[in-house]
Amino acid sequence: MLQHAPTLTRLVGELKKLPGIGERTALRLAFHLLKSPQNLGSLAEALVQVQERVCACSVCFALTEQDPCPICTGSRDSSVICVVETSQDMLALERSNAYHGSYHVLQGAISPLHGVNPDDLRIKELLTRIEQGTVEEVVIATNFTVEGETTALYLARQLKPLGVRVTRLAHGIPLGSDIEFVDPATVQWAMKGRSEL
Amino acid sequence: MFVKQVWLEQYRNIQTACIQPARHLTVLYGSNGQGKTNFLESVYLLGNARPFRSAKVPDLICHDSKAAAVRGSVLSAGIESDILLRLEQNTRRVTVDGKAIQRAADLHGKLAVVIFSPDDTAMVKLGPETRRRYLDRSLYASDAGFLQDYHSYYRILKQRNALLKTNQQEGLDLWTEQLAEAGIRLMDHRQRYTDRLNHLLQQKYQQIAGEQEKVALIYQPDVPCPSEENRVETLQTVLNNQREQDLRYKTTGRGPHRDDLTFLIGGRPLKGFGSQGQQRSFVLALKMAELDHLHETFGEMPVLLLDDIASELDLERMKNLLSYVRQREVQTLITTTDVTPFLPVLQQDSKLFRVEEGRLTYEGNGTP
Ligand SMILES: Nc1ncnc2c1ncn2[C@@H]1O[C@H](COP(=O)(O)OP(=O)(O)O)[C@@H](O)[C@H]1O
Ligand SMILES: [Mg+2]
Ligand SMILES: [Zn+2]
Repeated sequence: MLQHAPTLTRLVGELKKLPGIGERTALRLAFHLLKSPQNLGSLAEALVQVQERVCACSVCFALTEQDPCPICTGSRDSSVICVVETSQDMLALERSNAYHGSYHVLQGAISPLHGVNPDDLRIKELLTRIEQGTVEEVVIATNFTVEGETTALYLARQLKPLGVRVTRLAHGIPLGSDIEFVDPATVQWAMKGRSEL
Repeated sequence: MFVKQVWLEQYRNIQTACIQPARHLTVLYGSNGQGKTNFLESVYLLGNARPFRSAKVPDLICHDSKAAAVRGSVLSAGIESDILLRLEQNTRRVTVDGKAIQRAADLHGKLAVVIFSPDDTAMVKLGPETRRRYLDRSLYASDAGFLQDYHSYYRILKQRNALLKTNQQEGLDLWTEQLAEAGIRLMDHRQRYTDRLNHLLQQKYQQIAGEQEKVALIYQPDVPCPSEENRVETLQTVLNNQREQDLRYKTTGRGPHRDDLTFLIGGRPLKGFGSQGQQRSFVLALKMAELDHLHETFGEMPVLLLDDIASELDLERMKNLLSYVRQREVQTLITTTDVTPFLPVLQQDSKLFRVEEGRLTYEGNGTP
């Protein structure tokens, strides 16, 4: 049946490229969209608009519809920069409401396995921002993976000579959890990073 | 710890089985190729979520089937848990008491298992990677925190090797530094664990072999880093000195991924100077040391699986072993092709199963 509807085949093909979507789910989604032309129209519109309007901020490289982004131009504390790997990580930090400084989105982490070198990340741009002299502290919030840790180490090496304070997000026991049920590796890390009361 | 019930569905050549092993001694007998080792493997899987033989998930699923399941009721610290493993294509999903678990570490401590099989004796003669795998696996059984450090090290190693393949010098220092730090953490685990096992080994060897010969288990790091120095720096220096060669061969030539264990008898290498019997006794003594170490860790005895034990030990040593495990209340599951040598050791509370073409048949306690 699909061979008589090449556009539908194409839609299924595009949906399948999305993470976590296989052939069957793609088909189901496509048929579901076809059933309600209204939804289909507004989805198409949303996709086009996202493509037209969303871009990376030329200062911090976060996703934004106005450049520079509202965080870079607003009343946020610009003496602190929090460095994250992706815009999603930034979103998570924003949701926490615990941070009121500015951001810098690296667009990934160093990983030779995936062909990502320091040059492929927005590190030069970060250094330029700091050389302008208004930044006092850089909080490194890359992931706690081998790649994130290595990127953090690399950044620390690059940043310290510039005379800024470099800090790393703490890691430890998840809030609201019973130590008894926390995995031993996390407990070991939490013990290493314990703080004065 | 002990296993109250094992339920298998489409697991290797066992289509379906529901077995309640005895609290003390269970003997499974049958000719070769009938499914005895497969059954032991499934019990091991309940405790570790990964097979002891190097097998991939699809190997574990019965040839004509799409999925397999291994389910067990296990008792540890007085608490009964229901562990369920679902094997499908390449995935392995584990639930404990109906709740899905994300990491292998979450299964830790529910069921500790020590297995002794003919493959283990072979490790004396095989290459370093076999002994390293043994070391890491048994270390993990008693220390879940080890896994994190293990994975970090090998991930960094993979990254460093990927960088070497691109012939880039930039960033190499960074990965070398990371590798050295993770490497020392890995080596510390291995050193501590080996020392502990070695401490327990001598007495175990005497009990099993009945001889006074001095035995030792020595950790043999590829890069020794004495504790009186800055150990990360020591390792880092060795790695840096290796740099040219690494770039030429496009792989990291030195480091804990080349570590080994040395087995000594009478101060000399077991491989060249120990008889076949001594080699078997040594490895079995090592397993008994593991048993004790797990006991120290969890406060109770792990389950002992003895695969094809009669091919490994003579009657006298086997009797010593079985009376030892009974006295220590270790739940023991044994497989054998010949049941005769076991008839004298079976007791009222033992259980005997015949294994034939993947079917397990209960035959009572085997006593007259
Ligand atoms: N995935 C599988 N599906 C069906 N049969 C299997 C599978 N894996 C192994 N087998 C069969 O299991 C048998 C070996 O069982 P095993 O437990 O090692 O025998 P033994 O009783 O000698 O210990 C072999 O006949 C092999 O063909
Ligand atoms: Mg076998
Ligand atoms: Zn911005």
